[in-house]
Amino acid sequence: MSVAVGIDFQPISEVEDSLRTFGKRYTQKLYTTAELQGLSSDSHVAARDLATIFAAKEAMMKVLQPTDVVPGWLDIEVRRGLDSSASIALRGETAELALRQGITDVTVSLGVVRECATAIAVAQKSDRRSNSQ
Amino acid sequence: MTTLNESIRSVLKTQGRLAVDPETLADDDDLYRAGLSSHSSVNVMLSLENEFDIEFPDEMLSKATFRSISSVRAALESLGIHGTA
Repeated sequence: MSVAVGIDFQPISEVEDSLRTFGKRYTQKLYTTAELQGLSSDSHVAARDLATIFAAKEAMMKVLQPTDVVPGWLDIEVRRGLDSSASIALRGETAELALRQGITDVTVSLGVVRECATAIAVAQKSDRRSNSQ
Repeated sequence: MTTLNESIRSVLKTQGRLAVDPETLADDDDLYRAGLSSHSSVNVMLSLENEFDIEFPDEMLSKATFRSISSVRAALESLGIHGTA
């Protein structure tokens, strides 16, 4: 058993700018329907939450370190818990990539430091990896 | 007349949040080394979609597509957008 770690920081102001500039086209490219549900009507709070989700997705990308496969942003779904924890659901080729890498479990910790969302993803990797290519 | 590379540099200037002025970059310089983040690359993509009235297919949303001005140009050309260098 080994461990892979990914970390990311996402300035909230950049997400606010993206929401202002591109609106729904921005959210539809990056966030699943489930991730967008229940967002605050307060634009800053919504941007903070989206920044946190994006940081978690990017942290997961760093765990996967894809080379040939291109993980889609919508194939990495962040499911936030009631506290600062979250789980990750993978779909499509991204799920297959994780399987090939022997990733069996992913834990995500989320946070906000001043105006920056942070996420750390820790994945357990089985030494017996899938042979399917 | 604005060339394709000039249009890409202009979008990088407004959306790329690079650490350097895109005008100082060579066509093959690594944009990630110049400060392009994954989040900013999405904004660059959305802005290029606006500029050229196109849509990048999901399979092109890779780091490789946005690695350099040349690679962005190649992606645009594959979508039928052509221009002089």
